[in-house]
Amino acid sequence: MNKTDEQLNLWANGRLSEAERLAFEQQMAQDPALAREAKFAMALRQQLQDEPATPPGELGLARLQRAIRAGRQAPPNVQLRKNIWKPVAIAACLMVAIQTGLLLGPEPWRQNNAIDVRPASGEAATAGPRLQIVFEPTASTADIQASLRSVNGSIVAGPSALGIFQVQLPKDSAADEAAARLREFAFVDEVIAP
Amino acid sequence: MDTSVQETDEQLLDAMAAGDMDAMTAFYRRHETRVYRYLMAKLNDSFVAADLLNEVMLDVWRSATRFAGRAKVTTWMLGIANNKVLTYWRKQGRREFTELDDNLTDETPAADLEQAVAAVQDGDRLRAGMQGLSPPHREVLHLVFFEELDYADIANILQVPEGTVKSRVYHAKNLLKKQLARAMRSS
Repeated sequence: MNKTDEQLNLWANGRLSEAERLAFEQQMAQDPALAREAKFAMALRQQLQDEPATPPGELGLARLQRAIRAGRQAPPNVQLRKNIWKPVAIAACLMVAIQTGLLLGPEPWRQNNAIDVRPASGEAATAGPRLQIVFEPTASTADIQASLRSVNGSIVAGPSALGIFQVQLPKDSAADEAAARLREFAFVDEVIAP
Repeated sequence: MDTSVQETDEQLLDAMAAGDMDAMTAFYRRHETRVYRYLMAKLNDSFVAADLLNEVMLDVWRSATRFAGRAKVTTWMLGIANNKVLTYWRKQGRREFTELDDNLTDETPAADLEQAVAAVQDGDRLRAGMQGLSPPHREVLHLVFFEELDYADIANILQVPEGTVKSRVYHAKNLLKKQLARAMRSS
């Protein structure tokens, strides 16, 4: 069965020699069950080939080039452990700063310049697009606030263990434009649009 | 050095071994989508896939001098990606699915193939069906039907015997057919 299955997959991928292909197709003509299996394999291949993928692209390349130039020689697992606390620390600073501002500040939301803070629960999720963003470890709270304000975005999740935040954009905003605007900030390490 | 599209992967690796960043750029652009897709098939997490893609390419850069040419460059590179995922899972405390028994006989009734064929042509249903598979099953279907690799190459990437690949592909397809047929029945 496995031999036939392997041949079937090779046939679907167009990898059989001409003679093998003809022999296999003859076999299929006489065996409706095999023909159905072949139809399944062919359709599966086609769908997987057509499945869209959105890799990081030029952004990923720029990140790689920076890493190479920086001559990071430490194994990635060491870097991973070392970097875990940086985004956590940034997030903690951000939360403290926002809370302080809300408690001590002159009610900035009445002047239409408040940071867009959302409760963790009790409010329906906004339908706008979401971006993934990574800040440089040196980014300050003020930097992060400025970048979020530039796109009217809010941090709704993160940082992940790898330092990735999710930013919710307002409904009807263009994710690509917002991503491009965020990338202009020197302290933004990476932005991935959906 | 002119790193045009005509250069083979091996030539690009040679240039990278000599520190040529243009060659690395050409190599990245040529293989980024392939590595990313493979990582997504294994992880189903775009955040982690993007991070591990960067680590794989860094490893390719660092290891370019050590590429021995015993396997195809893509097989070697996907092998690095496979190891990166295993390391990531280990750090997360996840099982590595090494206990997956590829020789287990599937006792459940065979799927209705007509229903599975109809469902597999629907992108959403196929996506849902693939998500329902274990990572090793999802991965092996990706390597066969997207990468169009031989079983020997897949065995090389996954570091398992070729017979294991054969039975894993067979079981993965059967499980997927069942998922798809079930989805058709419940719709």
